[in-house]
Amino acid sequence: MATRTVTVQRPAAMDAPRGVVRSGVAVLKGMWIASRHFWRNLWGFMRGKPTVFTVQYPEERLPQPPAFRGMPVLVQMDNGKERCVACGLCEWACPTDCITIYPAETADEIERFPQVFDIDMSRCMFCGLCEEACPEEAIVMSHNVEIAAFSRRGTVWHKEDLLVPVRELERTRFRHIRKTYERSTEP
Amino acid sequence: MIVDHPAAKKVVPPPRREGHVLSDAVRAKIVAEATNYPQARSALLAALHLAQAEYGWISPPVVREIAELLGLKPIQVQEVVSFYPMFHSRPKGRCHIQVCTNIACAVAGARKLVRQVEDSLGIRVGETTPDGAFSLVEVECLGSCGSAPVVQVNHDPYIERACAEDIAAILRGERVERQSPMISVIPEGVDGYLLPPNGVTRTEIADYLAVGGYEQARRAWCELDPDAITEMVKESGLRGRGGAGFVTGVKWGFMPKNPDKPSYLAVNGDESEPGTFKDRQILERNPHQFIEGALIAGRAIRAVAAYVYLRGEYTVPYLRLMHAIEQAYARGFLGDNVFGSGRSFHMFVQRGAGAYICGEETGMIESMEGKKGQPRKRPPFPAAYGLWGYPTTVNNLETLTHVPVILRHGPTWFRQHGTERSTGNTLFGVSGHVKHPGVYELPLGTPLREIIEKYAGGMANGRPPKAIIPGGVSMPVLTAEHLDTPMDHESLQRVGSLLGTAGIVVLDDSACPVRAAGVIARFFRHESCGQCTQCREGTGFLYKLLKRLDSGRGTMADLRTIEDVCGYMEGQTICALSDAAAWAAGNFLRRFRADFEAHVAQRGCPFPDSFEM
Amino acid sequence: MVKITVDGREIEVANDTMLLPALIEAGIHVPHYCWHPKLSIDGSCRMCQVEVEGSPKLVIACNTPVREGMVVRTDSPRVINARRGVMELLLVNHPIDCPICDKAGECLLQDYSYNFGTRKSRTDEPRRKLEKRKDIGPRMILDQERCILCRRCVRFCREITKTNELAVFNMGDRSVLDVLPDAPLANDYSMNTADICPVGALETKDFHHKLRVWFLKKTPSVCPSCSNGCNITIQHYRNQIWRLMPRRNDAVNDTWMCDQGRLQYAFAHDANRLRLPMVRRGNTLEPCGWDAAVKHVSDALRATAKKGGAERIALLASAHFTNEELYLLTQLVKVLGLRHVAVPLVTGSGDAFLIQPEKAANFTGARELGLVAHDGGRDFTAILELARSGQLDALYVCGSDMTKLVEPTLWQAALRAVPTVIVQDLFAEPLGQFAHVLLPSLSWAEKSGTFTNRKRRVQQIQRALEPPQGQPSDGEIFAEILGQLAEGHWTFHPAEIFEQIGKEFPAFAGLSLASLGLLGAELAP
Repeated sequence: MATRTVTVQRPAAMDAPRGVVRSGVAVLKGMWIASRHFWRNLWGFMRGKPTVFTVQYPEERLPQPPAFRGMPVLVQMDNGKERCVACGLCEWACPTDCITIYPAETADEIERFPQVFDIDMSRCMFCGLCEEACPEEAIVMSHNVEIAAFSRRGTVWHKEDLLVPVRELERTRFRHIRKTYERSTEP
Repeated sequence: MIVDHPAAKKVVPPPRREGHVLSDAVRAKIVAEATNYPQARSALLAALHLAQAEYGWISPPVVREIAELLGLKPIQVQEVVSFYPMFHSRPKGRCHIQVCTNIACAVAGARKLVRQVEDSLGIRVGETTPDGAFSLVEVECLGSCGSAPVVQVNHDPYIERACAEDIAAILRGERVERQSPMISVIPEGVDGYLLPPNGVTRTEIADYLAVGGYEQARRAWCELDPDAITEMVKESGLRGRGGAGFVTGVKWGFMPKNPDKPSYLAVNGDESEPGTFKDRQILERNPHQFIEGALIAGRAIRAVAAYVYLRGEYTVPYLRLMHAIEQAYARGFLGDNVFGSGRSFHMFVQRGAGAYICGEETGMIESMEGKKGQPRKRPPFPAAYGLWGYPTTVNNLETLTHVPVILRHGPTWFRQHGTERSTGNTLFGVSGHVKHPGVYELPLGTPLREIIEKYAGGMANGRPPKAIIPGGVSMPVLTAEHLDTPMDHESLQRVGSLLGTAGIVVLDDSACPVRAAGVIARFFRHESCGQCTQCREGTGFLYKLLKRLDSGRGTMADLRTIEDVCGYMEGQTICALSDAAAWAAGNFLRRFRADFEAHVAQRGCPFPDSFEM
Repeated sequence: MVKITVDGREIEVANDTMLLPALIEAGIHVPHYCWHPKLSIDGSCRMCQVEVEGSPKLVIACNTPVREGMVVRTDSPRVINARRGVMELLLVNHPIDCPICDKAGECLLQDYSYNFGTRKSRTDEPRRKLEKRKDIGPRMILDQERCILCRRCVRFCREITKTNELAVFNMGDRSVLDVLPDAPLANDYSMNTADICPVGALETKDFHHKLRVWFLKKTPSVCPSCSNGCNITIQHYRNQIWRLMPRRNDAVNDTWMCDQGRLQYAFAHDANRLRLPMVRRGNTLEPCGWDAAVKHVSDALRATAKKGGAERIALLASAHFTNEELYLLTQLVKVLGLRHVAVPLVTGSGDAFLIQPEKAANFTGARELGLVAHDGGRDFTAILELARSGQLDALYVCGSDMTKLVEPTLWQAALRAVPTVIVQDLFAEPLGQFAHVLLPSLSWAEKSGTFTNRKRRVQQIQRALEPPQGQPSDGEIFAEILGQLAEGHWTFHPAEIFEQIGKEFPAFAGLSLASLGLLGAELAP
C-alpha cells in the first residue's frame, strides 16, 4: 500500500512575552464585550425598559407553540360531563401505564362513562399517544406543566381535576390535532 | 286429507278457554285447514288470513291462540306475522288503502294518488287516521301492470287504472269497482292455446269439457306411462315460464321413479315480479287448463298431490281457481280416485301474504311449510328434499298450462310455435308508456319492436322508447338499439339480458333512468328476505345511492360505489334476488351512464317531465 | 381421509366433512360468522366464500363437502373482493359503537374489517335505529343495531337448549333480533349466546362495561361448581377474576357452560378471604405464624392418637380438593390409621344437559382415592354424631359444605363437643368460631392440579390468581403436617404426586400431567 506523506506546516512557536500579551489581549476583548452587555442591560433596567430576553417567571410565561405537549386533560362537554366514554384506548396506548380507567354504565343515550379516570402524572411522559389514540377527542394535551406535588399520592390526578371545558380547547388544541393526526385512508 | 300419508296426523285442537278471541267458526276452519298437510304448521298462513279477516289484525292473544291450535310456540307465529306485509300486528284502518308504487304504476302517476290520500286525510304513508277509518300503505307490484296505476282496498278486487276520482270516492267511503276491460288477448293471426279465443272466459268446467278439456288428463292417469309423459314434454322443448327458463321435461326427470315416500307438485302462482301479470289471466279466464296441466304433471312425476301457492293479493283469481277446483273434484278429476284410475291426486291452494321472495322456489316451499319465506341453501335441491323434506317439483303456473296441448297435439306440433330452443307461445305482458298495455299471447321469438308497435299500439305519448325492461325488473334493461331483438331466451342472452317472465315494461325518454333504477332498487330492498349479508345490506345501500343521485347530492365516486356493490351482490348469495337487484341497478347505470353522470354534474335530475319515484 | 389442495399446498383432511371445518382444523383460517362447530349450518353470512376449481361461482366453505382432489383457493382476487364486499356491506348499517362496546378486542367484525375490509366508509346516510341496551333476560342485554343477523343465537336456542326464545323478525334490512315480551332469554345457558355472538349485540350483564378484554389473561382450567367438569378459561387481571368462559372439549361440554357455573367466581378474590392462620387462645382466635399453626395441628393429632387412639380422630375432607391434595389426605389417613373419614357433598338439581346434581368438582376423585364412605358421603352425619356424643377428641374439617347439609344446631353442637377442632377453609365463617386452629385454604383458581369429573375423566386446573406471598396451598399444608407426623420427605409437587397416584391406584396408571394436556383423559375402567 503506498503511503502519502503530508508535512503539516505549523507556525513557529511563539516566544513567551509575545504569547502572554496576545492572550491577555484576548481576555480583555472578551471582558469588554461582556461588560458592554452588562452596562447596556443595567441601563435598560434602570430606565424600566429591559433589553434582556430573560423571562421573569412566574409573573411572565413563555407562550407555547400549538404543538406543545403539556399534561393530558379531559374534555368537558357543555353539560358538565366528560366526553370520555371509557373506551380504554388511551390506557392501552400509554407507554408508562399511567392511566387507570374503571368503566361504568350510564342511563343516558351515551351508555358508557369512566367512573374512575386517574392519571399518575409522575409516570406520564407527555408523549401524547393517549391524545392520538382517542377516538372521541376526549383527551388532549394541554399546555400545563405546573403539576408539582408534595407527595407521591399528590401526583395522581382524578377525573374531576382533569376536566377542561371544551370551549377552551376548540380553537387551539382541536385545531392542531385535526391537522396533525391524519387518520389512515385506503390501503 | 291425504289418508295414507305416512306423516298425516289428525290435529286435535285444544278446547276453548279463557283468553281465546277467535270465533268457533274460525277455529274450526283452521283445524280443518291443518288436515291438508303432513305438518299442521303449514296451515299457519291460512290461519293468519282467517284470523285477520275476522279480527282485523293479529294481536298477541291471536298469536297465542293460533300457536296453540297448530302446536307451535308463539314466537314462531309472531316471526311469521312480522315477515309478511299482508299481516298486521297493529290495527289498520277499516278501509286499508294500498297503492302500488312499483315501476309501471310509478310511471303512470302513482305518487300523485298517494299524495292525494295523504293530503286529504292528513296522514303519512304507514299511518292510520285517529278514528281508525282509513290507513294508507305503499305496496309493491300487485300484478296488474297493464292497467296501472292500481289501488287495492282491503282484499277487494283491484281498482285498476285508478284516478283521482276513484281516490275521492274511496275517501268518501264508497266502494269502487273498476276492473279494466279485457286486457289479455290472442292477437289476430296467432295460433293461441293458452288463452281461450275471442276474449272468452272459460271458468266453468262444462265449457272446458265441451272443447275437449280434461281428456289429456284422463289419458295421463288411465293410459299413459308417467315417464312417457315426461319424455313427450321434454321433446317439446317446453321451458319454464317462471323466469328461469329451465327445460320442464328435464326437471320432471329429477323426481324419483320408484318413490318410497310421497312426492309433490308445488305450483308457483306467486307472480310478484314487477311487469308480470300473466298467470293471473290464466286463472281468471282459463283455470281448468291449468288444473289439467297440473294433473298431467302430477302423474308424470308420480306425485300424490299438488299444492298451489297463490299470491295473497289475487282475490279474483283465487275465487275462480277455488271454484274450478271444486268443480274438478265434483267430477272426480281430483280426489281419491282420479278419472276412475284407482289412484288419488289432490290439489290444495295456499294463499301467500305479500312477499315477493315467496316466488323463489325454496322460499315458496318454506312459506308453504308455514315459515318465513327464506330460501334454502342448495344442495339439497327440491327434487331430493322439498316440501316437508319430500321430493318436490316446483313449476310455474303458466308452464303447466302448456302441458295439455303438448299431450293433445304432440311435441312436433308444439315445436312449430316459437324458436328452435325456445319453443311454444308465451303470455307477454306489456306495460309502461305504450298505448295498449296488456297481456298478449304470442310465440316466443316475436321481435320486441313488433310486440310494442304492432300489438301494444306503439308509444303512448309520441315520445321514443328509451329504456325497455324485457322480462320483469330482474332482467337487465335494454335500450332502443335492442328493439329488433327476438324475444326468446337465446337472443336476449346474446344482447346481455334474459327473457325472465316476458314482462315487458317500456319507458320513453321522459323517464329518468336514475329514478327508474331507484324504484326498482326500492322494490328489491323491500323484498329481500334478509338472510344473506350482501342482499340484505346491498339492496338498501343501492337504493340509498340512487336516492342520493336523484336528490342531487351524488358524486362521480358514487357511480363507482354502485358498480362495486353490484359486484359484491352478484353470484354470491343463497338465491337470485341479490343477482336481480345487482343486474337491475348495474345495467341501468351501464346503459344510461351519461344520464347518471348528468345528475352529478347538474346536481339534480335533468328530466323535468319524469315520473316521480 | 382425503387429499385436497389449498392455495397450492396439498393437505389431508377428514372425509365426510365440510370444507370450512376441515380448513380450520388444518390451521387455515377462513373468516366466517354464521358457522359454528356445534350448530347447524346456516350459510347466510357469506363470509366464508372460497374458490373451488370446477365451480363457476364462489362457494361457501361451510356448506361444501370435501372431495378427493378438490382444488381450493382462499386467497384469490375474487375471494378477497368477496370478503371486502361482505365487510363493507355489514358496515353500512352497523353502528359505530366500538368505543362503548364490550366486544371490542374480541369482535369478529373488528378483526375481519381490519384484515379483509375497506378502510373508508362510503355512506353517511342515517343508519337504522333499533333498541340498544335492551334487557332481554335476567343475565343478558341485547343491542339490536349491532346484530349482524348471523342467527347463531337463534340456532343455539332452537337446537341446544330447545327453548326458542330468540327469533329474527321482519325482512330485509328491517330484520331485527328480538324476544317476545313475555318470554325472556332466561334459560340456564343463556350466557353462551354472548360467547357465540360474533359482535357486541348480545352481552352479558355480568361483564357489561367491566373491563377491556385486552387486559385479560386467560388461564385454562375446569369449572369447580359441579361434577360435570366443564372446561373453562379463567380470565383475570390485577389478580382478580373478571369472567369465566367455556373452553371447547368435545368429550365433556362441547363449547358450552351453564350460567350458574359461569357466575360463581367472585368468591375466589373476595377481600374477606381468610389469609392468615389462627390459633385459639382463650376465647379469641389470634393470628399466628404458619409454622406455629402447622405445628399446633400436628401436635394435636399426634397427642390425640397417642392418648385415645386413631378412633378419637375424624377427618371431613372436601370434594373441592384436587386429586393431589386428596392423595396427601389418604396418606394422612394411613399414617394416623384414621377410621372416621368422610367427604360431605352438597347436591342440588341437575338437567339433561350439563348441570349435575353433585355440586363439587372432585367428589369422583375423592371416591376413586378411597376417601368416600360406602354410602356416598352421608356417613359424615355419623361422624358428627360421634362428635356430638363426645367420642372424638380431634376433628379436622376441610371446607364448610357440611354446614349446608345439616341443621346449624346439629353441626354446632357437634363441633362444640370436640376438644380440638381444626378447620381449613376459604373464609373465617361459618366454622371459625368453633375452631381451635383455623387454616386458610386456597380456591380452585389459585392452585394447579387435577379434578376427576363424574364420568371419571381427569382434567387439569391451573393457577390463575396468585395467593398472597407466603400463603401455602392446601397440599403444601398437608405435606407439612405429614412431614411432622411421619418419616420421609414430604413435598407437594402436583406432577410428582399425580404420578405417585398412578402407582398406587390402577385406574390412574400410565397418566401424567403432560399426557392429560388441556382436554384431560378418562381413567381406566
